[in-house]
Amino acid sequence: MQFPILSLLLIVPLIGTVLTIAGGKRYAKWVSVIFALISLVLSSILVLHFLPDSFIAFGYDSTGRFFAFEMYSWAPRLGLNYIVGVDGLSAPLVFLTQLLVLMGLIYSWKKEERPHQFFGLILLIGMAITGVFISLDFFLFFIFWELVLIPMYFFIAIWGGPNRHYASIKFLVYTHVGSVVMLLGIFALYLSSGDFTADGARTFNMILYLEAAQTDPLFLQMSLQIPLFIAFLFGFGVKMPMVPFHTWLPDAHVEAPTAGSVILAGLLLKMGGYGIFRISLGILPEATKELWWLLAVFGIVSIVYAAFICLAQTDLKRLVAYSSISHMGFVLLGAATMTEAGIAGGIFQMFNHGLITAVLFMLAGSVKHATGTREIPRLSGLAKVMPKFSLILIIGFFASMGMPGLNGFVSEFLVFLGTYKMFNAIEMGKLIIIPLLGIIVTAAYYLWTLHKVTLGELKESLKNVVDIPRHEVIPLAILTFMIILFGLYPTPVVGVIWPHAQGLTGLLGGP
Amino acid sequence: MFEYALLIVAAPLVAFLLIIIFGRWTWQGGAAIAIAALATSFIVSVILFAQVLGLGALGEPVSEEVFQYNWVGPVEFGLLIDNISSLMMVLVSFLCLVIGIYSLGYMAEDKSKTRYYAEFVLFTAGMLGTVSANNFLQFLIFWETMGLCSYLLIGFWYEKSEAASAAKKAFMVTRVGDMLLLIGIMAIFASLGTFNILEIQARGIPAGALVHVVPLLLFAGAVGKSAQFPLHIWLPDAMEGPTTVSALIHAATMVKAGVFLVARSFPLVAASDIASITVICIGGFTAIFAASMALVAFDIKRVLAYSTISQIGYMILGLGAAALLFEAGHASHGFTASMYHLMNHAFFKALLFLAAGSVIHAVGSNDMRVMGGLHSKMKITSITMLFGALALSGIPPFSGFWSKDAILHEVFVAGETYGAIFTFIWVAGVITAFLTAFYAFRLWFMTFAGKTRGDIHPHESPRVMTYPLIALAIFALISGMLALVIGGFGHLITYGGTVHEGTMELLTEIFTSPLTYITLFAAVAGIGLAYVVYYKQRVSSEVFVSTSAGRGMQKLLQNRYYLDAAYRGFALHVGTGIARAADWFDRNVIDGVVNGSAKVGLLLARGSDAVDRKGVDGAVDGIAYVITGSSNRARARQTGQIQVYLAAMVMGMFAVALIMLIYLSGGW
Repeated sequence: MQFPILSLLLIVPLIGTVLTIAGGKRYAKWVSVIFALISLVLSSILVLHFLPDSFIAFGYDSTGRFFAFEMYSWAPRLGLNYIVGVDGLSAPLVFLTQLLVLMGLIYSWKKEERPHQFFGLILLIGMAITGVFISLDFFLFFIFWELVLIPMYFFIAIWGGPNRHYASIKFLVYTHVGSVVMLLGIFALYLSSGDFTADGARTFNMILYLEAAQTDPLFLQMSLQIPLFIAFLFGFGVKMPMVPFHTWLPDAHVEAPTAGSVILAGLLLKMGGYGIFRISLGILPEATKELWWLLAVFGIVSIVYAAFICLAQTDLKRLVAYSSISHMGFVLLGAATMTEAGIAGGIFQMFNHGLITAVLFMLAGSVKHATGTREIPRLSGLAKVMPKFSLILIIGFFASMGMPGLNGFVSEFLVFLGTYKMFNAIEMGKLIIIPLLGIIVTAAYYLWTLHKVTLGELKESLKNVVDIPRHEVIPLAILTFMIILFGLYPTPVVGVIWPHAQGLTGLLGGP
Repeated sequence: MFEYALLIVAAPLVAFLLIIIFGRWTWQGGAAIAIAALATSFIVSVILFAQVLGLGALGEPVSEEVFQYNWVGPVEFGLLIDNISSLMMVLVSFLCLVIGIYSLGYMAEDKSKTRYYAEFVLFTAGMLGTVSANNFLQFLIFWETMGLCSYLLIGFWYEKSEAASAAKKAFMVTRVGDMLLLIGIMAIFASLGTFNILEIQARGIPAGALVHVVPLLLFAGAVGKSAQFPLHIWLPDAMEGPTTVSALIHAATMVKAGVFLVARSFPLVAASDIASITVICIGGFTAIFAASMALVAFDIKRVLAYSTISQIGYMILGLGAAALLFEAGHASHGFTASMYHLMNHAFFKALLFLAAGSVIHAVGSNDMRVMGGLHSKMKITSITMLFGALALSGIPPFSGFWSKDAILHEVFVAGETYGAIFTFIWVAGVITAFLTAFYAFRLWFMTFAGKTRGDIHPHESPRVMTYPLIALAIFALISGMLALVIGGFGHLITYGGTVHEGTMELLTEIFTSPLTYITLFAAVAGIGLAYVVYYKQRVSSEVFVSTSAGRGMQKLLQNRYYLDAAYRGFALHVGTGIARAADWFDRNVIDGVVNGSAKVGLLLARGSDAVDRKGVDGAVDGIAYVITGSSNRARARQTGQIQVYLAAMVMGMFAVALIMLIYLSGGW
């Protein structure tokens, strides 16, 4: 039997959660960090597999598509199995999950309010999100999908800001509604699965669906694919979130503690994007070809609309939250292009956005700790007293606005490339100007914020502010380093993603 | 064979890293590292330039790509070494080196030297990378790096609110052009499947609307970066940075990158008459438009800024005229003339800025109204700046004359071919030459001649600042003539392999043409007018301003044709207006629907709860009464402790899962 690395990625944080909570306040941070570190090492091993001539090899599934593959029978009569495996789409996200969990833990080092539960819940959320990315069985997928909500809910409801009860309930109910609609889709898939499996038995096995779509894109007739596509799009769209199903997000972010925001924006939103690529594009290719414009419209509206709203925000955290919506629009737009560049860009955008938004939310938390406010108009000239903060803020903002040399540019450029090709194919190349308008507005709100927060004269009331403490600098420095690294040298990550994008493009047949 | 050229770009990049890591512990906060790197770049560029010239027959472009690197998908990075790029690298590295040395004096007392030198070398690296890029993606990366550095350097004194605003404005305005450039690059990639510049030049854009659209989009990027109308508004404000930064932006980097972009995409521009005519019109209009605003400015750096915009307009004009002539199948020296002017302007504009910096350093103000009579106090600055002003005005044998004359000559030729409109633009160009000479000497007379007007105590700047001035003054005198010695600048850079004359033929051609004397007369007249008004003060400028037309004109010019205000109003009212409206819509309409449906759900729940209590529950009240004890126990579980909630929710979920399983499988 091969080394069950993916199961370990579920078990290790789960044990970590139990031990952290059981171990009490004193040891909580150390225990949790050790377990998160083990997970990060495991996921790094997993990613190393992709290196050319890698000495690490994992077992593959029968199609040779998913590796580190594990399959155990669970309830065979129901077509229910425990199946996990990763490919070019999920591997970067699994790595990102372990990374952000560890960074979130370190950032929260000085948490004093119920630290053991706080750290334990972070590990639990990380485990559940990992589960979503690696599950290749719809039932397992849905269990993890829902499992994410519960610790996140408590996270906001217990450690949140003044309006936490409203925000946490809104988050729970809204995303749950999305999940229920998605669940209906899963049921419908399941009930019709007898038509295409070899033995006529119903199944939750995702690989069978992916294969069926590969051999015959019309393995489900269009009258079923279209409503399924819409149901899944709603489920994923709420999670991403796409405009107009996004309003839970700013509230949840404003109230959530910093580590919660990091995981919420850095990882939780990616579940929606992951679902789009894995299920909407991978299993329902004919419906995607029919309804790609829906994805494009939602994507472009999210990009531009949320960018304009950012321009009107005064709370730094709310601004970053809306910018998340805007940048996740690129994921949708990338998927809509049905081109290699666009899809690869969309997937890479999820990874990049995870890194960038984590930095930005941490900075929003840091400025609150240091000055007691996140209101942009009340801040001024912080470059003088908080040079480290200001430097990282500039890098983070420029990365987010797509400055070449930083990672955000690579993915957004690829998405634009794909979009232009797609628009050209329908002879509307000029429309590219609309999402590009979002880029200009993005530059405007970030520059405005930089101007207000870091530049200008230092206010009297901010004279005694101290720069960010070491436990906050460490995760920020690591993430900033990766932002620059993958901006200059995106080749390894793109190399992991590209074959998957090629596969999907082949399936969709391009624009 | 050009592998070592990588060092030219790499040296400042490495210096950037070294300065941010070790800079603060080294001499002058990292200045030594910066100067060493710039000197390295300069020496290697000179070697490279010599080798490139030695390789090809003079004038024949030699291109070679070195250093390939797989980036994302089909993009390969590399260097494109040819006459233009190797000459640009010599220019850029030389001027950056000189400005860097000058900075030793100018920035000596600044507390943030380390930051200054780090951003300085990164800026240089950005420009060197831009001119040596072999593909448009790499070009864009370095191009934007320059944008970032200009933001940081213009806002260098960030405590000053004006500096912070100017930095923001520069970045935003150039960003608009950059976006259009990005579309252009994507359109090229979509139709040709490559970013490689040589390949694109060779293949051209296939016929269709894109033939016109692509060069226009690329040109839009150049308009933003080179501060051409209508995206010129950032450059005058960019004066808020240190004067050395202004010299850097105006002479060697940033604004020259736009001209370079037009030169690099010249075959694409020359393939479209619409694009060529647009380039000519924008260039010609910007030249006279910016010169007019320089007439009324009192800030010494602002005058120079308008002058840069105007001079860049000339270069763009020359390129456009050449492109149009090529498009129609005529030979043209316009390309050569523009590159020639780019080089000459780089020297004399760096000189003018550094001399202005020397003045500001001594006087402590930018306002020419408090200056005057500085010649006796700072002779070196005064004389070197006079050289700069003569070169800018286009007085032979100073450098500006040769190239400006060549450009106007090409425009006139285009006018002969195409008729009235270009003759009109040529006339505008000649008027610009008059205005240029006037404001250049207005500046010089107001600063150095007459009596000191303000309460100032000037002194000559230290040698570390004056020596660079002297070096640049020499170049402002000879850089134009150097090209004559080798028989014309066309022997260095040309497009399309046009004929070259020898030195004597060239001189005869220039000085027998009546056009030369027309331009020259305009320049001399400009200087004469400035002499009468600002030196002799026989005619007061007040006389002109006192007329109502004069006052109106002055107001119009001082308000920069109200364009800044219009843009500002647009951004404030339209941009922010949309943002506010979207925000309101989001909070009240979209979220209103969400909260509304939540309320409806709550009402439904309350209703059914009421029914449940009054109706159903009433019936079982008796029984409930009996089991009050157990309900009390249930209430006790709602303790608000998360463990209990968590356990309950997980258990509930598994229960739902179980029910689902049983339901789906049709019973176990």
